[in-house]
Amino acid sequence: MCNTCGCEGDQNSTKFSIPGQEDNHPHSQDHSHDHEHSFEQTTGRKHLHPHPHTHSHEHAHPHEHSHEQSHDNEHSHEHTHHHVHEHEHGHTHSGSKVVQLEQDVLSQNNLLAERNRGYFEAKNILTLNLVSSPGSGKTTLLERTITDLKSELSFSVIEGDQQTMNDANRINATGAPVIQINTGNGCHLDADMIQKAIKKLEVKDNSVLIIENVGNLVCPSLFDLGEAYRVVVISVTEGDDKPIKYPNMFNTSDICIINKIDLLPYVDFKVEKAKEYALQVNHHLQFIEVSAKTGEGMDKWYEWLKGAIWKIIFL
Amino acid sequence: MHELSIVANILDTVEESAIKHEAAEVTEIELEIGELSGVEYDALDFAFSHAPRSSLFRKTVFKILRIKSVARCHDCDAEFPVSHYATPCPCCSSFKTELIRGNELRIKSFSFD
Repeated sequence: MCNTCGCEGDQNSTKFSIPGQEDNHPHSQDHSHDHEHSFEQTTGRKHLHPHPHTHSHEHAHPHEHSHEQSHDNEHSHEHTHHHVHEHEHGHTHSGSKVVQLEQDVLSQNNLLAERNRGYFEAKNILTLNLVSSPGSGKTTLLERTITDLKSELSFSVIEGDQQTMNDANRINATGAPVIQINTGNGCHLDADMIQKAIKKLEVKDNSVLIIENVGNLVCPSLFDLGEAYRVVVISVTEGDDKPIKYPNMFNTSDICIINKIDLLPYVDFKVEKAKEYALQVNHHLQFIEVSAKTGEGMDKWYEWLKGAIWKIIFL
Repeated sequence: MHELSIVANILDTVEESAIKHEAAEVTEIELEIGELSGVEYDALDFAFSHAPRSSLFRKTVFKILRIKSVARCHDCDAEFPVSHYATPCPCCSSFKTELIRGNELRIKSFSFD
């Protein structure tokens, strides 16, 4: 059932909802269609056109020789017979044809992510992909950030969750434009969802767009959304060995925010240990320690944020 | 279980190409998956056997070539095999390393009749 208006929706489909405009939201987004379309454009050029061209060979077993060899051979046309080669076709022993694709599994997503990135760059939009496990305080961090900086910077937010409008409603209360993506059974956001969301959100030029990914330290690490920076949040109520337990996420992030530092006296979490582990999987990672609840350390985060948007607008 | 969406991506990609080649049936898909790609081999196998497939993929055999991970040390340039991201350089013990092989998620080829 659709959680915004109560209609029956497909559990597997992604839903996009803007607080206050829930009646207008589309209930189902068939993103495989768009994928196929854009894919056709790239791979069509790269791999799929057959190239029926004729090579002359003096040899009886052309498959034992690479194309390079046959091109290099000086040979007389009088003694040759013709083979038609399609570059991407080989033959197996059973007679099946082989297409050498040599293509990244996530190339569709990566292509769409680059298109998003180009759009953000052209409009001077600083896009952050906020990732963490559930309950690390991403939404609280956003609420506080937007409330404290809204007189200086313009924000908009894409919220990703499997279900509910709860996070979008919290951001909406700060006054920033927000769209909720409910992934249904999906465990991550992908570039196609972001492309659809930004069409509805109308993100301003020279602004900050924050994407709060689905709370999950595994799957979102694989999916580039077109962000300028990936920001991973861990809270001190989690284990300080999280960076080595979920290395892919820390390896692909640029900034690590350690949240809930007001709780440090009550937990076993060792900040230095967590940093040491995180640097073992990614020695480029930068750390910012904050309490989004009390505001401690938030000035350093704001400083970084302002520096990052400044770079995008002026450099 | 991002392996299911990975499999859906693979099938979409191969189907697109197979249709252009007027394939009746895809007999084999060969993948190169790095050990540190973030994809579980077992979960991938499971996803292949349970993903919805069109008639094109009724008899498809999935062949996974596992790529061993290799890192390079920033400090001393040594290249060495790794089984985890947080592996220090065996020569100088530095953690300033970069994975140079082993995070592949690639469709190498497919065969069809």
